[in-house]
Amino acid sequence: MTGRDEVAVLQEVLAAEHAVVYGYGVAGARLTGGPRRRAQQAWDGHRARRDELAGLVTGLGGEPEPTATTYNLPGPVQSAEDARALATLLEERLAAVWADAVAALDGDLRDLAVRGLGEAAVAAARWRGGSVAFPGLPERN
Amino acid sequence: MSEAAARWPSRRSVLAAAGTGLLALAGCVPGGEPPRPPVDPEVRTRARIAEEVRALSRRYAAVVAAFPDADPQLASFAAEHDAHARALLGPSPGAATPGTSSPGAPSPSAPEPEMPVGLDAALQSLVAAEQAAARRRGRQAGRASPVLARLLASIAGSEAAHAALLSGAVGTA
Repeated sequence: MTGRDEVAVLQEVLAAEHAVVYGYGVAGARLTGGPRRRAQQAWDGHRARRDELAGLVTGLGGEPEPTATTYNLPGPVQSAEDARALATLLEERLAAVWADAVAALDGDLRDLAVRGLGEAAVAAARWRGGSVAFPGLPERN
Repeated sequence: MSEAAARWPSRRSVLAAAGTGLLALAGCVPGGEPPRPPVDPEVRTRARIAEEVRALSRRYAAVVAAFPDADPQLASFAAEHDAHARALLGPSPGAATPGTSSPGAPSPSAPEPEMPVGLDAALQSLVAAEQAAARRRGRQAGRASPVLARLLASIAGSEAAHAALLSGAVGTA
């Protein structure tokens, strides 16, 4: 795989992380107590991962994908229940992007993608309060 | 072993080598030995990992048998491990027919650990087993073909999620 191919894959994940950071901002505003702290921690974690990805893209000679000005949410987020459903969906979609990155990348970058998928799978399971057999593989669940 | 035998490959290995080459392509192997279809090494890898996954499922079955009132999540986690094993053994694009493996055969895996006394200790042992499995699956994903790596990374994610959810249940039993 060439550096240009790797950049294209990392840009996909970076774009997804931008969307997740935006989404947690929306979800966190509807949560209180422990779930709000969890959303805050997730927001911090995804911003750090987003910056790490931007650094990797730059290091490979690419121009990091900027954040979009607006994102379409799947529905109105008016309650804590809506917020938890949104957080679950964000992590599920991110897991799917990481899963495709696992197949497309090799070496250290594949290891990064494996970790990314694992973290998204755990976060989705916590928000959902249950597990799925194949996180990140929508065609199997 | 005699010097001649050490220097020359046996007739059997010569034929086996030929069987994977042009003669096999022509559908004709001399000498009366039945042609052996080449076994994709990934088929063996998938069968071996599926057995590891099944061992995890058996640990859940043992806990449920010992503690019938345990968290109903345990049964669904075990079912997910069974789904992992089926996915590993099932057909995948570009892979050889998995019929060459013997999924039902007993394998020389490590003996099952003894059941801890008390449900909390049993849950803790499942958490540790899931965490170890997730790490192992992640390493296996690093060495696998792209298609298998994607599946293994997802299974690792499922195992890590089981560990996280079970950790939350420990102490409430």
